[in-house]
Amino acid sequence: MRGSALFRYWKGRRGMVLTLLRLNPWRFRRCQSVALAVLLLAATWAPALADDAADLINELMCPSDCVETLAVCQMTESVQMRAFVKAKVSEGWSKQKITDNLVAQYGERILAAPTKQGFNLTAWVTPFAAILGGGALITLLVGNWVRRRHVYDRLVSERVGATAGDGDLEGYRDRLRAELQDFE
Amino acid sequence: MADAGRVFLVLAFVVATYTTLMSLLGAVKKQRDFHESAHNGIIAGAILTTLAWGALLYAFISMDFSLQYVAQYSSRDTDLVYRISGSYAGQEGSLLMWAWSLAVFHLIAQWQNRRSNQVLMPWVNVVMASSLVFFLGLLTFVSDPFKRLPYIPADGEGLNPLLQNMGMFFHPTTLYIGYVGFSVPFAFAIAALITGRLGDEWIRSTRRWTLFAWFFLSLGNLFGAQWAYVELGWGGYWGWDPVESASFMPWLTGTAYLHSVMVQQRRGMLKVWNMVLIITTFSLTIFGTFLTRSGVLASVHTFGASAVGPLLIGLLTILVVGSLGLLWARLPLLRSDDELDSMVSRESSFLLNNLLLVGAAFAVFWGTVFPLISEAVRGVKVTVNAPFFNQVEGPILLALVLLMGICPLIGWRRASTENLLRNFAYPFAIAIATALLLYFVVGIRVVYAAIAFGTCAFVLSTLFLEFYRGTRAKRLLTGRNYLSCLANLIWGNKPRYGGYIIHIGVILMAIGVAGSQAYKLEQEVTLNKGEEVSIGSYRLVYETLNTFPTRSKEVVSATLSVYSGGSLIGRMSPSKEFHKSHSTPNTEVAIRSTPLEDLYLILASWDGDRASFKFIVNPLVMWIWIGGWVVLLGTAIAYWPDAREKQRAVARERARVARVGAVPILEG
Repeated sequence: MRGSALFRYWKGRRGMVLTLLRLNPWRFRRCQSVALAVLLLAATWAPALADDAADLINELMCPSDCVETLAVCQMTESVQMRAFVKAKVSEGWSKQKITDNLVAQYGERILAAPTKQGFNLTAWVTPFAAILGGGALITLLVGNWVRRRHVYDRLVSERVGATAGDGDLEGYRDRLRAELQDFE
Repeated sequence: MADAGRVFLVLAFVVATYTTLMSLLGAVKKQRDFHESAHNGIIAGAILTTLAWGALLYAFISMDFSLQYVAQYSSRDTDLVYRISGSYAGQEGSLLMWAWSLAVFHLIAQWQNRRSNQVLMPWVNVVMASSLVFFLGLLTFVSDPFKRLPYIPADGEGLNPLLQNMGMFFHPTTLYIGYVGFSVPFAFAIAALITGRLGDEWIRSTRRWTLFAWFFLSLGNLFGAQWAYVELGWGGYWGWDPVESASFMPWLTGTAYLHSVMVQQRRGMLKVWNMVLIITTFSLTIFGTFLTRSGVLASVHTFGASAVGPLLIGLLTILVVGSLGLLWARLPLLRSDDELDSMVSRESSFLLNNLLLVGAAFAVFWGTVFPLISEAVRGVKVTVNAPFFNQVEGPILLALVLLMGICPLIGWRRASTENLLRNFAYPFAIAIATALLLYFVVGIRVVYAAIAFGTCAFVLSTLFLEFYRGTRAKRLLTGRNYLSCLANLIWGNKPRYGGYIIHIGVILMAIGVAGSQAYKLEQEVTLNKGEEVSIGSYRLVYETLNTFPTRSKEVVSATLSVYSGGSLIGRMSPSKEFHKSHSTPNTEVAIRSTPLEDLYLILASWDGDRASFKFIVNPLVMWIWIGGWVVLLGTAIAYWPDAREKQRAVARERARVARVGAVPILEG
């Protein structure tokens, strides 16, 4: 019976949302977190759409010490490197070949972002891992708080009964919390 | 006058040290005489620091090149306005500005609390006065702005041409006010930890200081972006330079703090988290100034390596270890007064908001220090610049934008399913419709951009709904017109609706960023006179190249006629300036701004009548600046004193405190 009721909800216009929210708010929240994580992670590996030369100019640093990308820097070294990149692209060199050539000359510092391999991968992964870890911790803590709240509500309801008003219940709940904290 | 400035500086240092001692004695012994003496010391310190700052300004205005600092950052042909801004262009002057701001803010905070917070204020004075001692000590012993040269040069070196822009007036000053402003809530937080007064009394007392500091930090970042856009000549507004990142991080954690204190004030929760946030925010302001002054990371903003760097690291270490140690000791007193009722509630959405804001700050921090980590671990130098931050921060900030639409529509404590569906159905539909319309009809085929615009449409819809429902309810009650009811709605709850207006401003900025990032058009061309090129909807004809001298520089300027739809819409003149005092030429771009897009012209080089240009069409950039003004308006509204909100906050606090002492629950 319950299964068929679920199925009817599923078929309904707002069925999926209602089902998830009413029957299992925890799962909904976890789905939300997973969807958010997938969105965040997928976005980092989505390919850029500009042409190769423009891509490279945005992804390479000026070879001098001006700490600006080729796209930004107006120094002679940048002008020369931009011309080099455009020339190699028009000769049919791939982005990877041009990049490897420049890294061999100047080192990894010529790249405007760390590569996505080896130790450098930690640069990319760590922020998202931290957010996901924080999200997991918050979900645990919030779940704990909500469960404790339900326990207090249940204890108070059992003790005080249905005759107490909302304000009284709030007061009893707070008193119970304070006494339990003192006990701990 | 310069000698007097040095005297004032040294005296200010001595007085600040005395004030710290008297404040400490007054706090420990609780004797009025020490308090009074400390109060006098605060006043004297502010006066002396102001006089020292005034002496430095006078030295710049009067072109006293006997001072090394003046000779480095000024010259005879520097305009008066830039001689004034040159006074804080370097290490020494900017430190003096920091110390002066701190002294003045301390005086104001002391005056505001002359009849309140009598338990907290002695310790607030200890924290702020000792901070002032540190910065005045740096100025007195390490980085003296009044240091004399062994000779008097005929002229100074002049201010860097890049700094000769009105942005120099506003960007550093607003940024420093923002940085130093956070010292007040930080001092109150430490005072609350020391005294054990850990209700939301200290938060209420510093709410407007926090908003003030956040506002100026926002302005500082915006002015910096605008200055970069109009002055640096690369067509962008944010380069993810380490020092730019250093000013963005405290803004992110400060924003998280502004939101989460609302939960503490309403529900007595997140007390530990709020302490962590204010400590982190203040620490990041010190970290930011460390990055600028240490030379540890290469940046276009740094003053270069100096002895100030290690001392700032020392301060940062003491600050972080001391604050967190104190927090650890007071943990038992920081228990929440309440629990969450539901996973789906405004409180939990604020937690998610904090997670994303702090996560974004961590991502910026991680990217900023990763070059150091890589060199330490692998011995290989890497660079972390715009491509990294765009890919990592972009999705996080987009998720944050989405949350800005969700949070206001979820109720406190618990949101019902029906309520959620009622609130989100229309905005969600509008978001999907907008994204589909942009993708299939307008032809915006970059998926990121369509998602970003759809998200912005969602948030704007939710905010519009909030204003509409409130206004309609007032109209039904009062019968007045919509405009009058809207004004009444906003003025009746300034913190809430000011906050919503700030959100609208942020969304407008997000629209500008999304458009300019996804749809920028760039073209580099070399033209002979009379030749033309097309970019976007514009046709540009290179007309002339002129050279002319001014008092301080030689200017090479190209003139181009701009056509759109076959009609001449104007002439634009990008140029290069060769200043006598600096070898590197300065690029002056030509910008034509409309709400739809900016046409941005750069003169790159020339050879006779041939000239090389870079042309950029930057869509929607104007909305970034418009959004900034809307944020300004919203903050001003939220900041305005609201007697009713103050009464509501006090009543909520009293009610919560009273409940804990209610009738015994476990009888018999």
